[in-house]
Amino acid sequence: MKKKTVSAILASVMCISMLFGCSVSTDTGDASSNEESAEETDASAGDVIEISWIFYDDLDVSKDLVTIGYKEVIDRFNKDFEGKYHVNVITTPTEEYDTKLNALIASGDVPELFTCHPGPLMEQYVDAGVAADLTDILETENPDWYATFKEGIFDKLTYDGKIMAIPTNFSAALVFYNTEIFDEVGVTPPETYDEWLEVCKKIQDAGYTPIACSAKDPWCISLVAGYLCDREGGPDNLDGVSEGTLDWTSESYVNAGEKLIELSQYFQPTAAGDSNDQVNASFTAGEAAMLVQGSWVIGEINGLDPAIEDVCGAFRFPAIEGGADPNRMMVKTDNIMLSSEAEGKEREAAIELLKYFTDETAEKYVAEEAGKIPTTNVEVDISAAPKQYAYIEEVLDESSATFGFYNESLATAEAGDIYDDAIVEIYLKNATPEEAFQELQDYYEKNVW
Amino acid sequence: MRCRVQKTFIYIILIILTLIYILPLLWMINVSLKTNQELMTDPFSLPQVLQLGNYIYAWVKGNLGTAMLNSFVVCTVSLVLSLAIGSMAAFAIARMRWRLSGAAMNYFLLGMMIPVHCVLIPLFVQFSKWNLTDSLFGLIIPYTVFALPLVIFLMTGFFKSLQNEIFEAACIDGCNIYSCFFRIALPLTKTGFSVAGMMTFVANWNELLMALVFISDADKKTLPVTLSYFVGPYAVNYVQMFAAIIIALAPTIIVYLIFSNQIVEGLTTGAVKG
Repeated sequence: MKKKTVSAILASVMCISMLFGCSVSTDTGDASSNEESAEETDASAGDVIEISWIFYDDLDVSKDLVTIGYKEVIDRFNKDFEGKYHVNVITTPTEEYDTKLNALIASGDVPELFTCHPGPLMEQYVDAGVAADLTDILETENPDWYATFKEGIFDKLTYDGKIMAIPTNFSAALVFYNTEIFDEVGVTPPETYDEWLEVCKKIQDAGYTPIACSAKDPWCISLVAGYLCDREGGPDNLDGVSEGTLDWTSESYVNAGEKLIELSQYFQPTAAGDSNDQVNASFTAGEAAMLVQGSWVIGEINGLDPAIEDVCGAFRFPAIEGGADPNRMMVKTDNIMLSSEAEGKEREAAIELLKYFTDETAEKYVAEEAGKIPTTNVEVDISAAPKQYAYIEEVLDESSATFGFYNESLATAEAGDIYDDAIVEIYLKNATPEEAFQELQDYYEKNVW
Repeated sequence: MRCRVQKTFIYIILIILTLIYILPLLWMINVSLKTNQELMTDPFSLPQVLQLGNYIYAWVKGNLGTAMLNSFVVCTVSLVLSLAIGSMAAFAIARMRWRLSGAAMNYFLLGMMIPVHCVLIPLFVQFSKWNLTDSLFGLIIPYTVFALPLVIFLMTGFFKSLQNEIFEAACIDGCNIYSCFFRIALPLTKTGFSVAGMMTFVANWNELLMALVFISDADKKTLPVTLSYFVGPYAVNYVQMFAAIIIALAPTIIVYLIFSNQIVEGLTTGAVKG
């Protein structure tokens, strides 16, 4: 018995010493973490202003190109302002991000900067008074910085005439297609919805999956549905439901639902169970001909297989004849908000960091490495950027207006979730479009109008 | 002959069950040695080239050594505290006669019904006022407290199963209540400690939500938090995540092996007469 106890203790000591030993080798093996820990020790001595920024992806572990770009911004900022400012990054996985941020806000420990999706999520922070008004900071205090931003980029981030967030990059949703499959089947990018159905039929007959889509991750299929809704009814759709002048069960929405059912016969048969990753991989592997996604996907698919870059084209989401303006683009910005409680030197440091997120180096990286679209008028070397970037710029040049993701443009975040669920129900044929949109109608009647 | 057929049949069932348990683990090891592209195009094939770099990436970038140490410290301290406090409370409820013992038991059991999500933010706000957030101690307290109902529930059952005569004999021989607890009750309920200890340790080891919300400092993060970082906002880094999970599984398996032997020993001690 004594021998067993002794051996158990010795085994535990061995395991613990292994952990300690491994911690040491981790430190020496990783140059960047060495630099950061050295900086932190230096930073803690003296009057270094510490600020924090909360984000939904880990800067060290993530392979997402935009996150890697943010890491470079943070490292550059900490290096350039060594001894003066230092930023600590609080990272949380996406699913728990809102819980963590809300907990920090409730406890009064608000990070100076926090990332936020546009739409009702951002609105709740604006209404709660947690976010600072950036209008004067931009227009009055830093006009040169303000002038670098693209025109209209702040439109969706302005509430009651006040700019509430800084956009660091934006992506547009469109249809990516495999040019090799299109050439083989003998089709060209369709302009209208009816042409699209014909193209899909021909591709399906040739043995390929016409469109890869995920219904398991509702936002993917919701993206397609949002476009169909907008192509049917245009801006009046969202304006109407927000003002209460249009029912969710009106013709434009129901028609969009019917068209989704029609289009979904050309999705892969396993769409209900496929995740976003699987769908992107299927497109990259050349199994599916088209992918309706945001331009953030460029970094991912090019990373999965560099060969896709040469055979990947993009076209605007087709028009619906008799519907609304087909040159409207669904876009989404990544945004950072400043805490209304940040004062004095912390506020100064936070504003400097915001400038770093949108400076020339960061914005060029956004386009040339990550394949997303810069929010400033930076000169992009198209030849250095992923090939798909050029096609997106082409489509964007012809766009007449932008609109947000439907599930992020509704009255509340809960309405967005109900919208996503309704779309999935329509796809799975568990409910007709009328029945599915009736859920939203009931919610709006009860809670919004 | 009949015995042989029966035995063969039982062995076949056991082999199938073993495969059901082991194959997912083996598949995880297989995936952890592939690239993301290989995984997506052919999930069940063997890797063309063994990607050992996934393990190095997971260990270095994920800071797994520090995370495992933090998890180990938090789980061990909360385990010791919850077993110490819980067993004493259980002994008082099970073996001592006092008016509110039933009410106390119900009070503790109520604790099992409170979901973490209800108390998460109020607890965080309170801990923030006491400067307990962003510290391992700030995690140990809720882990200990949330483990107490289960420990008390389990240990009460074990203490109640002990015979009165043992304690009467001990009292006659001059034992006070503390000696009764430490010298009589505790040694006889080792199995109970193993069961409660294992369940508490594994539950705390896998706990994600509180660790995520309470801890912001990268150096104090626990293992499940670190593992969740491999899930990005748009894509999941499967191969390196699986490598990290394989590394993280090792302590859980070791702890289970240590405690499981004790449970089996405890269960079979009284089985054979003489």
